[in-house]
Amino acid sequence: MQDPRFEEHADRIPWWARCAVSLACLLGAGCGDRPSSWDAEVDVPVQTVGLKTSVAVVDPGLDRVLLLSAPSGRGLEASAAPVGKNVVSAQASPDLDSVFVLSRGVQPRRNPEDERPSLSVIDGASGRVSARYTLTDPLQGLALDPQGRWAVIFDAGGIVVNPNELIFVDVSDPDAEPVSKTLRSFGGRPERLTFTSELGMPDGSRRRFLIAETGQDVTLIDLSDLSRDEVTIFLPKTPSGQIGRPLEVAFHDGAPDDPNDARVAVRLANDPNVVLIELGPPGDDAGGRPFKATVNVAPLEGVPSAIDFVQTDGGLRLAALVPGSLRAQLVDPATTVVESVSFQKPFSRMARVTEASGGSPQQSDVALLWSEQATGIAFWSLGTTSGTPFRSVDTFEIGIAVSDVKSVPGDGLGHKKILESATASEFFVLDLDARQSFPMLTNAAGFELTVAPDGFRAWAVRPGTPQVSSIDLSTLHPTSVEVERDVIAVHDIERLDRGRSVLLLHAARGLNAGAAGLGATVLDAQNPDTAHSRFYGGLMLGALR
Amino acid sequence: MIHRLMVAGLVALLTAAPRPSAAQAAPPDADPEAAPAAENEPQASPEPEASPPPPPPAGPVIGPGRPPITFYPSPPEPARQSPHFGAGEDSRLDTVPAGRRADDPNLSPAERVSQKPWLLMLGARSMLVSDSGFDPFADSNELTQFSLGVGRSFYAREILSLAAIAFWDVGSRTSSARGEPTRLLVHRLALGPELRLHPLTDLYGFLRFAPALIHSEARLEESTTGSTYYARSDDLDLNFLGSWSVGFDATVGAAYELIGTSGRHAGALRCWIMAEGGYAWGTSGDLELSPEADDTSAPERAAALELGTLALRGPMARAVVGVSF
Repeated sequence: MQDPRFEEHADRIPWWARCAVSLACLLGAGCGDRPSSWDAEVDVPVQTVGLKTSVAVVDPGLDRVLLLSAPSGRGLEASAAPVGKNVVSAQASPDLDSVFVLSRGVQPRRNPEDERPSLSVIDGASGRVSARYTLTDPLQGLALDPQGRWAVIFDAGGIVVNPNELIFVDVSDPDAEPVSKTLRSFGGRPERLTFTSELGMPDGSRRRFLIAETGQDVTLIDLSDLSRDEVTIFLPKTPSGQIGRPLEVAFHDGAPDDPNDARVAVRLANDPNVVLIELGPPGDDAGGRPFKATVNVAPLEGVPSAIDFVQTDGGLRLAALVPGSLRAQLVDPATTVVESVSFQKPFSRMARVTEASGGSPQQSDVALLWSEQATGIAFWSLGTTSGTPFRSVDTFEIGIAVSDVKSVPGDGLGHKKILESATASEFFVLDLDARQSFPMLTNAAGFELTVAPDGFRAWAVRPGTPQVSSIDLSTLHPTSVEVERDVIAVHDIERLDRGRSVLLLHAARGLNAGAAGLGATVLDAQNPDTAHSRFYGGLMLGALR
Repeated sequence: MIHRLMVAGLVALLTAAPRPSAAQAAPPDADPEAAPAAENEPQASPEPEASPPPPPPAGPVIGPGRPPITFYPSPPEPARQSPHFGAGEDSRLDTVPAGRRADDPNLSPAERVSQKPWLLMLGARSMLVSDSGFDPFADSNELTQFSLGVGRSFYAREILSLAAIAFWDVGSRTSSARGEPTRLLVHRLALGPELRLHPLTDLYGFLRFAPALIHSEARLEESTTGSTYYARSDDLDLNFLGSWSVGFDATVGAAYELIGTSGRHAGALRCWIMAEGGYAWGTSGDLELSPEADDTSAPERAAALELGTLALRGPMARAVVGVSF
């Protein structure tokens, strides 16, 4: 029942006053500020992640990822996917189908509604968030499983967090709850994470492990049972008495018919010894674990710069490159007996290229050797190592010191490698089948090379210049184009019409403080021609409405 | 379809400018008897001069036959006049000396205002554009414009009159979109009929519906190209007059005569203050910003920057001062 006093009072309000109040309310409803997104700053440099069918542009100012895709021709479309606040890491999935974005959320959280840390998974084709996992702690490191099953979040130098906490996310299940696991700390904290392939266990099972390297030990975490206690391997001290610090790990399943010979090797900093961990049959004190980790140490003639398990004509060996003594050493993991192979150059890096060379890893491996300190490369045929080790190495003088070797994805041209140099103004395309290398000269050093996901082209660009070159990896025919603005990144993506487009991204700071723009020149990747390119400006304004 | 209808209506209004009626067309020295006759209205017969009050009756008279008691010379009965078209004078008004026309107590409020039929107005208009397409160009919803208007009263009778009013509104907003400077310039030309209600001689309310042509120019300084991107309204291409979209203003307001009146004495000019409010509607156009075709600094084949659509519509208010003559 209405208060009669109110009725009396309301009756006194003249009609014009009522109309004025109503009008004021109407106008007030129409007033208002615009969405704050129009005032958000653009972070420079812009972080971009190339996927198969799109390019993900991280836009921390708006807590979103902008996905640029090419529908057809020289078209370009932008869509946005929301991610958590304060993005700290964005990585493409190993298959380049999606992008993982790690956010710290609102830190410190002062109100219950403050956003928690999260991991967002965005599908690159649809541009939608396929999964979002809420985390409890604001960690900053992200490691992705090469096989696509796991994402592990860890601290990479954050503050006020548990540095030994790892959060495991089973990304094969969008509804899976992240599992937190704190490693027993003996003074170290995880610095690098390595996912193993399946390793045969003595009980006949096959398990995958996450190997966490800290500053002084190595921890094995059984990915098939995260509730099980991890195994921490204490590393030997260096000859100078320093605590052994792991720099690299390698793993191997061993002989296919032997479930007791899975091994992990650890290379240490400033230490001529390598650590071999054998996952053998469990003893009585295994605590329910299906294996027992047995540690052996193999002494080398110098500090190794790279290690890997290789198949030789004498069986499985741990290959270690010792550039200081111009040799490689092969360690028998079962006996720790060491063999040496001399090189002409101090090769310090290696990569197994067995399958790309047409060989079979079941018989013997072929390794590609290179060094940043010496010019040239070498093929190391491990099938002749035991009998004639001096004949097992074929050295090629290419005139540049190789700093990185890029693989060519796909089956079509997978036998080719791209050899980059940090200092030279040329790079090489290496044909492993023909054992030939083809120099590609550039007009200046400092270019960046990227290989198209389909494996048929490479793109070379010197960031900050408008010159871009495409190299057809089948014919090695280069096509140089000069676009109208300086390029910061090149991404070769598949179009919706199954063609391919290349996006040359441009960034520039604006006139106002905090202003920056992102643009793109779109060309046909298979036939790049600037006479048919299309320029798109204002990309950071895309999908704002 | 609605665009075409509105355009057709607007063109019709523009082409059908208020033409003088037969009364207006009559030259000042025309036969005063001719104008009313031409209007097919009953001719008002000249009223007799005011006569002194009749002498009081000799004795009390009760009933309807009692004459009114007056304490001052009563004004003559208002003549039943023909509709008054603008400055046109009916025969009766033309018999009154010009200086007294506006003071003539026989004139109705509407007719008195129509004595000075032309109206020039100057002021400001503000509208609230809540359309999201407005956001890149302004950090709030207000669009304030300078207003210049002209109108003419062309029909008056009793307390009602009718006028045609045209307004030109121009204004802009500047802002930035994620740091990129932006600007939106809007011209609005509106012309339409105004129905006035005159309760008092120096105050009238009005109702106006004015179809409008809207020309908007959105611009954005794009940093990666270093070029200026433009988007303009594009419903109608009027050649050298540019491209326009269409809309309307539907408003209600009031005008009060500030100067020009002293009692019932009027000067040569009358000054008015007017306020109105209502709703302004405009068609929605695509906000596809592109560099100018002759911008040599822009990249070749620069694609349009699509920011959605812009619809300049929303509640509006206008305040002007006007001079009628």
